[in-house]
Amino acid sequence: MFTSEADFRYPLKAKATISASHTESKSFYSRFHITISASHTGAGFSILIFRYPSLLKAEVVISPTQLHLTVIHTKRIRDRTDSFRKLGQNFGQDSNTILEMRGMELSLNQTQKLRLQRALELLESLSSGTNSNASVTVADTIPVNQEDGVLKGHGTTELEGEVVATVCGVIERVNKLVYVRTLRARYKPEVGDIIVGRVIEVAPKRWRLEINFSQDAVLMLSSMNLPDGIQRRRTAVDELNMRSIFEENDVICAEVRDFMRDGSLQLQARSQKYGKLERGQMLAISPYLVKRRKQHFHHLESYGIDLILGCNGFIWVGEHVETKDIMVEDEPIKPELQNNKSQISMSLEEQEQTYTPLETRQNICRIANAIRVLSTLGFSITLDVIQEVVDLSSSKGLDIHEMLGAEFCVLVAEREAERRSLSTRRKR
Amino acid sequence: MEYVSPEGLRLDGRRPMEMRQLRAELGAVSRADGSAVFEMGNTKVIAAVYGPREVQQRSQQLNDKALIRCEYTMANFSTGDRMRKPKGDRRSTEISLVIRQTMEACILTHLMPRSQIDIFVQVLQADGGTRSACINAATLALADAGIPMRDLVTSCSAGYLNSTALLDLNYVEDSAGGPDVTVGILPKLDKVTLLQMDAKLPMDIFENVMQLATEGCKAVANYIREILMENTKQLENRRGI
Repeated sequence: MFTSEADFRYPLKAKATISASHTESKSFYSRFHITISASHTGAGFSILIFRYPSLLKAEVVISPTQLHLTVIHTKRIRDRTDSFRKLGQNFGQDSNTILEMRGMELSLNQTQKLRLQRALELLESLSSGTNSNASVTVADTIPVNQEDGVLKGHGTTELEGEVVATVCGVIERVNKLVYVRTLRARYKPEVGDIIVGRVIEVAPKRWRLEINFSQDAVLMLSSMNLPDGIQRRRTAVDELNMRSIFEENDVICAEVRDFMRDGSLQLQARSQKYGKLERGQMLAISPYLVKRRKQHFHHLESYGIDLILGCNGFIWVGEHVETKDIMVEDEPIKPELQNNKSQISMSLEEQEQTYTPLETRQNICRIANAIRVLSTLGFSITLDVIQEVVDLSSSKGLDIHEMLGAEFCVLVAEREAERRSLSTRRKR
Repeated sequence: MEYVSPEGLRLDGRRPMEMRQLRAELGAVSRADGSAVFEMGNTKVIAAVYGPREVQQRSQQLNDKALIRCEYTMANFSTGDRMRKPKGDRRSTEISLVIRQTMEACILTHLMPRSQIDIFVQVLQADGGTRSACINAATLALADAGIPMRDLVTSCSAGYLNSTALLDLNYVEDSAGGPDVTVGILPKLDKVTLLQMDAKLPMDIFENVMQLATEGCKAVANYIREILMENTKQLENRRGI
């Protein structure tokens, strides 16, 4: 028999006494009877109990002032008294908000949990001033002034004269146009977007690319520059040699050209900056975190790294490659190629080229992990923010693998909250 | 057996018109486009949505709308006795079909031609009302995936035992052999998309039971809406400018 006291702060403001006794024990299952009596009455108790995950199976009887639980613990428990003391404490703690985050399984300790919570609350208070009441869920009515005339955009529909949202997101208004900007959704392409994709099929005269869109994108052989850099008609030989340009599973950077009549997407790669991406990592994040900018190609000189923020949420972090315009440089190189000796030196150079120095590889991983942390926290991803996170990690002297831990995640959240509060103050 | 005590309490301590505790959580499956865990008391269901994506079998591709596919499974450990069930038995095929048709009625499929949406639902703990829990979980997952829908579909079951209409039956009440009415509604449009019952009930009683189930659906809809709103606000706040 053991008695423990817990302070239920949320959702009830009540003090509870937990008394427990152990009646039956098998090798793996132990049955406990817990009685919780509290100054507060009512069925609100059950909410609390069901939030507590280790109570896998519980038989609950609720009486006006007491809640009786029979718990079957599936873990073998060595020291039952101690485990119950913990249970009692945890009831008190876990009845506060449980932090749940998408795709993140971090074991935060109590202080980290509180710090993260405080940082996130600060972020909430910062942005709530700018656009409160702009969020809608499916089937919410969007308030509009019907007299002005309304153009219904994406994510809206009309129902009995009202404009109704069909997706969850944020209302955006541009003059008469009203649309809902979705948050977590697949990529919606716009002409001119720079995207990163993966080749999934080599078809006649075209490659099919997975780009996180509702269909596969198409890159025609005719809409990309040939490796020899000459503008000419694509012949049957070119078509046979398509695999020498891109193979299946290659990662490619390209630009959205236009939509075809049947709604599928055409890409183009008519510049040297587009094309195959090698020696790096591709990360897939939610597309809403990447904003459309003038610059999507970034060269981080201090790290020797290329960073491509694809509008479709695919991000490339790779070793820096000099883009040379073959059209211009071709001619002086050609006569050298004919020389046999230089060809050997070229091949040696090529061998050196395929080797990425350890430091660069570590930098790639560091930047990639910074992006991973940012995307699990759901912060928008820009060059400045990434750089800040990378600097933070190196100034703290953290190893690359430590960047995915709980402590660093909390640090990033705090830093971001600080940064945003500074920038809003400056605006004022 | 006595399912409603003279004091008006059910076996698990609920009143006849009381629902079980609801709990929902978005983003349980990190690789999916949308996912959710939905709990009604001890019934626990996980749903994952993939898509809209390229149609896997070209012959199934529809040129004017999206193809919706649904797969319902029960985990081996979900029921009291651990049984290895063959995949694609009659029950799960039927429920897959029911969920698919219900979801298809609310998804605006014409906006995503030549693509497919896969909905996977798995029962983690079965304690009655898995059908409705699956539909609720699928709705949440679809909304999380940002798929345009006419309205949220919510579902709830109701039964009739000891000459009382009971809301949200649990396993013991469900296996009592009485009528079990599962209703799915579109709360905003006020339309019924799903109505199932495999027993006989007099007309006037049926109306009562269905009314009760509809009320349950509306309660679920309010809860789902809250969860979605909270999630949307959180995402937007975190994203910042």
